[in-house]
Amino acid sequence: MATLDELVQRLGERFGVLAESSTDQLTVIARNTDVAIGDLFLLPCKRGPDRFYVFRTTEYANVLNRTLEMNDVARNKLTMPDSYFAEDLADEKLVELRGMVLGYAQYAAGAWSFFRPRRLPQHLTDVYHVDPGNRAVGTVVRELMRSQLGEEGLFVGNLLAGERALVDVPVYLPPHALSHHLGVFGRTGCGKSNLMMVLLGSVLDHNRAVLRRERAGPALSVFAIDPHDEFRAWHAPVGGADGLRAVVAGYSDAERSALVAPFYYLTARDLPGAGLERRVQLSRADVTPADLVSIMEFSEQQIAFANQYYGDHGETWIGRLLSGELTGRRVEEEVPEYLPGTVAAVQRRLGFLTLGSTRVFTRFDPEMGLDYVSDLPDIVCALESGRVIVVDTTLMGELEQFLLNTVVARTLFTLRRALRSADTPGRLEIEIRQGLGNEDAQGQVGLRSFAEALLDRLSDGRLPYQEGDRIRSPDELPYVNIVVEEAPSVLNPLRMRFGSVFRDISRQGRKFGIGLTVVSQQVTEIDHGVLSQLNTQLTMALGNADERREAVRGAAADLGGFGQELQVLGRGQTLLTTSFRDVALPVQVPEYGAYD
Amino acid sequence: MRFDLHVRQGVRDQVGSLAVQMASWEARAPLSDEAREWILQAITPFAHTTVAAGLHVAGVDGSGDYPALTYADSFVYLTVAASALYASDSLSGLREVAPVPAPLVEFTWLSTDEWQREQALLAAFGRLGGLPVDEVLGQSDYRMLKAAGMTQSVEALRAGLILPPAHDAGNLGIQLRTSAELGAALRLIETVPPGTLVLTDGTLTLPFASRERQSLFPEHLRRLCCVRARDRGVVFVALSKSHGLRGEEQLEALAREKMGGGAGVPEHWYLRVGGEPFDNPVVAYLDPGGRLPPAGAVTYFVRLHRTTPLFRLDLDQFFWEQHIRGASDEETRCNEEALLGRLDYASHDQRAYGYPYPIKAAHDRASLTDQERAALRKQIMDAAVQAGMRRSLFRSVALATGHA
Repeated sequence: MATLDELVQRLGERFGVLAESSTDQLTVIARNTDVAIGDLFLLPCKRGPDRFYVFRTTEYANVLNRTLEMNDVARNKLTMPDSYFAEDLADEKLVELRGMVLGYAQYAAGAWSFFRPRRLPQHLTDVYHVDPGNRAVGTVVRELMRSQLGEEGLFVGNLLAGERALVDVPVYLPPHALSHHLGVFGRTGCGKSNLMMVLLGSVLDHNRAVLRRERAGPALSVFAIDPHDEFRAWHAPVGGADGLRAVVAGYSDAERSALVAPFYYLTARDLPGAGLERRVQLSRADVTPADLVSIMEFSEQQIAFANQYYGDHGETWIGRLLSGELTGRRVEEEVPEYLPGTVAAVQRRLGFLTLGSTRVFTRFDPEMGLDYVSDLPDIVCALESGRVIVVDTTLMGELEQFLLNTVVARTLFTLRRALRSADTPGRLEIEIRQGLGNEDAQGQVGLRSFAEALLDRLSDGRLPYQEGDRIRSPDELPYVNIVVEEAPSVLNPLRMRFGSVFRDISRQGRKFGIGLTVVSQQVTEIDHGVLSQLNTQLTMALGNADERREAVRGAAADLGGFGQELQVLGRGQTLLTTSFRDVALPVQVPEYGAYD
Repeated sequence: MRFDLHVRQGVRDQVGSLAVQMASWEARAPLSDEAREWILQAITPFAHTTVAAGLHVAGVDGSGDYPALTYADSFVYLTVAASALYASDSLSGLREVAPVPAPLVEFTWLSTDEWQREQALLAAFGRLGGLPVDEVLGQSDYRMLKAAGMTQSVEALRAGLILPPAHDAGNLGIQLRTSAELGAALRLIETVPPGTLVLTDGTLTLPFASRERQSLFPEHLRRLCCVRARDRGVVFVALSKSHGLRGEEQLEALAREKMGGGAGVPEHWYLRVGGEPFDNPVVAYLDPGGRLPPAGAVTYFVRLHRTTPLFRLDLDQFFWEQHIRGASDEETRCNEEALLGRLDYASHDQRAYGYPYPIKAAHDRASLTDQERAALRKQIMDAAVQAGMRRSLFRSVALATGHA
């Protein structure tokens, strides 16, 4: 590992000198150079152990050397006929940078370790600019900030120094970040889709490396809603980089079998055959009242009625209710009567699942020969095996899309909880059935067909919960992340008033290795309970001051000094804050396909 | 001590007598009609210049401490010169061109030993000029302008160099500082783009040109600058704030008469002394001592801006003949206006409005404050003590005897 003196040699010419400094703010006097808010600087220091302080400018001002007053110069320039103020290479025109210390790297036992900014550099320390054009400086930053940048895992982008990225300083998220919750915030057009695409590509790279034993597991799974059908082909239709299909096409047969099968792309469109890209279907028999309550407004009475009706009829409850069948109530317990209006209201809310209204949810009525037809069991098995599944929702209604996502999330959460509770294969089957509400001995039908399909897959190994007679712990399974697109529609406080699958996952999901990725244009519209559970935020350009304030407030690392930067973030630029790192990192997300 | 000299009658009488002499010297005979007409004709306005695309202009200035240190029979002289090169810039007027030339710094130790003094001075001149003294003497055209003509060998020229004694701080200071300035100018001339204006603070005067044998090293170096500037197509300009003119007020009045503008001070005009055709009646009036123009030079008096004084500008005569003098008077005037327009443009920095900023910038970089002089003096003494000398050797006699 290079020493302080060796690293200073690589930094090139001194940029400026530290002037006033306090624990709140540093001031640097520098030559008249083209600098930008967000530029990074290194301050080598030998007070105490050898250290490099990393300084980030949050504001700067033009100043004049000596005793000249800037206002006098400006007045003279205006009033003296045709006068100018010549630009000297040194001396007269200087810039004064103010900013904060991101932290410091300290040399000990032959290595550099990075610490939060608890100390200050010594008086009049030399200041070196982290110039993105000087790759040698990039290598120094990488060496000093190694612990903050990550060395492998999920590539997010390159560290941003002002307006330009440091090509030699990649930034990684640890794989286990996906088992926790992420927030991706940014107004339309700021590059959220590209960021998601880069992350999905990184997940595929990770899984391939795990398969090849180049990297420690576990594998990662992502269930990614794709509202614009971009991830599969990306920019190939307009002559740009191809998307995930190109990655999959590049795999060997064995890799496709191990990393992709049975599918990676689901859509509501009709596609020929049942290959890796196929039409998705779920069944009404996969849906519980809790799923619906998570995505649309229900009153307390309506929820109570729906729950009771589901309790009575289990997996057929939607079909029966939609057909107006209100018989079959349990008689052994005292049950409340519901007003016709309440019943009708619930029926109306299920309207989007009626025949002809949905391309995704199939009817289920065994008595009429409508059997259980659903991809949900295979989706669950795939996600439990380390897969990226992209769901094109362009032909789905908003509610269909939300319901699909909710059902998958709730199911996984239920199964992981069942798995945590079980210690034998026999017990696992019981826990799975109980989790799905299917206790025939108690007269509870629940999601019986789905449970049966799942248990079939458990026994033949497609659902990898068992290894012989040993029950796997959720810790041995892939980290699963569910992407919640257009999050304010399902994660707003009003919607979550009476409970939500996502609230449960946000609170408890990480115990079971399930994380959410909350994608939104607005931070303010997201339920505070969910926001407070986000371990990682990727904050891009936001629409207004309220959003920026909320983003700063909820960040996992101190974003206090980045307020102004949030105003000027360009396309693809993001601030990465995560509880897995000590400091916030500005990152340039590269165009997907335009990097190695 | 109580100061009462100024109230003593004898002193007051002397001051009165002095004033009468000064006033009578100023009250000269009125201009002849012929001279007046000549001067009116010679005064030429030029345009206030606010655009000078592609202009490169450099400035040189020097300073020093003469002496920086004295002890026993020895004197240490410190000489500094700095230069700066600028290019015209549409946004900032002038933008300095990298790299910044390193300042010339020369410590010269002279003792009363004649041989040591001569060797040390010649070595210092060589270092300041950037060339061995013999090469400067050999390559300069000073010989051509000297009374003895080209007949003198380099050895004879070297033998004729005036090398003042170690204690003659005044003359040594002038020679060392001028050599440093010209050395810095020569370095610029060798490197700047052709067409660049290289401005020095001073004149092209050759005070010993009329002497047969004696000369000053800076005279040779000054002319070498002219030679190399001609070779490289660089415009070498000596600009003096102290023109030494006796009839400046009269000149201003005539300029006002010619250019109009009421009672205000007229600006942006010039008057040439030397070259064709305005040579005599003007020179006779302005410079009865016959010092203008210097040998091998053409002199201009230039008014750039009303807030700065009339400047004297010397150009190499051979350069003038090649590049300024045109086939007609009109062409000559055009060339003169183009040159002075560029000088005017370079003089619009608000820190020194009406004076070329590159010289001002060089001056700022070369000048030494009292604290800097004291620091350098202490540095010399510390180094000497470290080298084995006694600190008591450097004790100030003036301080010890209550004279400072």
